[in-house]
Amino acid sequence: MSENSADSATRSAWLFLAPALFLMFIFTVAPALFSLILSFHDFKPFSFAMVPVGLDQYMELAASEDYRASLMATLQFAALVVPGSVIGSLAVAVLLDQTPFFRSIFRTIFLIPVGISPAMAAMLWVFLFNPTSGFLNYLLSMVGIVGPAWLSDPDWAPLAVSLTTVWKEVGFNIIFLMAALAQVPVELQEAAWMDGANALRRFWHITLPSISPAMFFVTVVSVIHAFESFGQIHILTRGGPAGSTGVLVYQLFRDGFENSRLGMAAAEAVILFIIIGAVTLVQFFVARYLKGAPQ
Amino acid sequence: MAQLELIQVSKDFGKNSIIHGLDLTVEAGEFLVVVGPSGCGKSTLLRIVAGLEPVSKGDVRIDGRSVTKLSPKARGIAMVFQNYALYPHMSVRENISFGLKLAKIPDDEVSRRVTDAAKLLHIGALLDRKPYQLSGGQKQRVAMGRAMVRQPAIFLFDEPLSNLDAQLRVQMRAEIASLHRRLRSTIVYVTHDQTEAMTLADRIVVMRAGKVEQIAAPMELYRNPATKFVASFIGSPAMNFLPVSVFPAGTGMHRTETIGFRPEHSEFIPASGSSRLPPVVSGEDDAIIVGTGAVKLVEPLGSVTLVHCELAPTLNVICEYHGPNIPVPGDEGFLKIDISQLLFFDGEGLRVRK
Ligand SMILES: Nc1ncnc2c1ncn2[C@@H]1O[C@H](COP(=O)(O)OP(=O)(O)OP(=O)(O)O)[C@@H](O)[C@H]1O
Ligand SMILES: [Mg+2]
Repeated sequence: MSENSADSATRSAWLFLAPALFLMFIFTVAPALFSLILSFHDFKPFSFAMVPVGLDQYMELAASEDYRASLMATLQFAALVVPGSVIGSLAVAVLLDQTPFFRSIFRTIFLIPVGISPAMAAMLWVFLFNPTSGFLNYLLSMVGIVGPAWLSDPDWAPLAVSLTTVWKEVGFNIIFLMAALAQVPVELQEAAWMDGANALRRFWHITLPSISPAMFFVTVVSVIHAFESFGQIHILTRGGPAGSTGVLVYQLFRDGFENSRLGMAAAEAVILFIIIGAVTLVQFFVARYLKGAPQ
Repeated sequence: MAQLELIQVSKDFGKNSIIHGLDLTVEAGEFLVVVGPSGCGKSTLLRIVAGLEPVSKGDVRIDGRSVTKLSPKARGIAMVFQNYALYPHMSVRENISFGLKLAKIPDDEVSRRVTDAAKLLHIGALLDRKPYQLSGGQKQRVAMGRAMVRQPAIFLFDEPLSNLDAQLRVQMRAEIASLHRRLRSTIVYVTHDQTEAMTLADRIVVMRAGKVEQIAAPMELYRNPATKFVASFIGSPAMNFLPVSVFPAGTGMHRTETIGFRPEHSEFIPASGSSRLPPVVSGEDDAIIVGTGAVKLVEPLGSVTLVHCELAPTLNVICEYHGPNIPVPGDEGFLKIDISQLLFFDGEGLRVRK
């Protein structure tokens, strides 16, 4: 009897989920599967012919200097963006948590960049980064520093692109970290205070471990976003100068839509998927290890 | 063990004045219990002593030295919180030793103190567990262990047993008492529980709306309350109060507006048969019979039976009954009060003494 009703509950659950699942299959699962199939083919865009090439495209990527450089650019980008946005948002969240008066107004201000499109955000920064008339170099000149050519100097472009990305992403992280900070019981802080822990120690021994699930989430999402960034790079640098910001997604875009090698682009997408999946998995294992290990 | 003094301490939260010019001295080694109605400022008082809350006015002194401006850690005080406040990501051992590690106490000394405390509190087997793997009583012990190992001059407890079930509460109460006997430390202990207050305290402070209403040893407070508020607050079931007409001028009692008596000093006497006349009290000069009442509720507690009586609409008293035939609601009877135990209060609720 109860089994039956459980069965029918399951059945109606599937029924309600069906439209969503159908759409998800059409727009997410099917294209992903098609990409996988495509990656083993050479796709001719004009004749729509698919010539099976096996692993050839993967081999070509493995041997490609350009692709390796692109991978390095991506890692550099992630190495700048992830710590920047995680630590930056943590710092802002902690500051806002301490100042109830400014909390909601600043939370809103920091959330604005999240809401605007990457292209818009990047346009804004194109102006800010302008070496001669940009606001950034104007500020630097006030303290006697001649600012660099942010977007056309290969040494500075990765930093400029990362800065824009961090600016755009911190608001999202701040929301989650502030919510987590608000959950840390005041009594824990007070108990640690009575135990002789100063503010820094309390942050390190009490606050940080208490918000570690949110930190983990924010880090994983930041890593994924970093590997997927495209819009701001396209507008700011077009992968240049000298390939210094030519991240994997940009390479993919170029191969697929400028060089019309859709099969190759599909292979790159599959590799990117594997990289992101692997990095995320590693993060999960590290988090589990840290949680299980004695502090 | 240290002496603690509060001198004219006031505390305002914004416009709300919570504690007003409070004076209090806790002697070295004393077990002081603070009681009072919810919201009267007990926790605030403890937090002021701990240094978690700055005073608005006044001075806090430990052994004569002002600590008002010192941070909690510099005061040498440990606090046990109502909901334990154990660090959830640390093991029991790490919880207990956290303060010692921060104080850079050598490792062998830390482990010696942790072992000693664990033995005293019977939590030796739990040292490697995390707080979520502990029962309420075990968490409470760990919280006490964490306070103990720092060897503080003063312990503060804020309703430490209120989250435990009744049986565990009795057990922990006994353990806290024996702990105090052994450590002889100064303790300030906030509770809502009458029994805890009466059994643990060297002295009890009754607080009311941010002021000290009375400080005295438990039995002294019970027998000799200074105000109607204290009389009604201490003792369970609570003291009975009856409005009285004015005593003759010149007796010293003319300000009396209320008399009070405890249930154990009054007795219910059932009206026998159809007689509505009070029985004659003979040979008992110190007892009086007060009017008739209808039984509303009967609570047989085993050793004694409590009878709730309605003397007049909205005038209820609780008295004891010692006879063989336990009355039932609706029965009528008389109230016999031991005169020598009557307390007199004036219109302001202050005791009137003969
Ligand atoms: N941080 C605060 N800000 C404003 N008002 C506060 C603050 N802390 C306490 N109060 C107020 O001070 C009064 C006393 O609070 P306190 O916690 O000391 O009461 P209490 O005697 O411990 O009560 P209970 O028995 O319910 O624990 C209450 O009216 C409370 O609302
Ligand atoms: Mg309280």
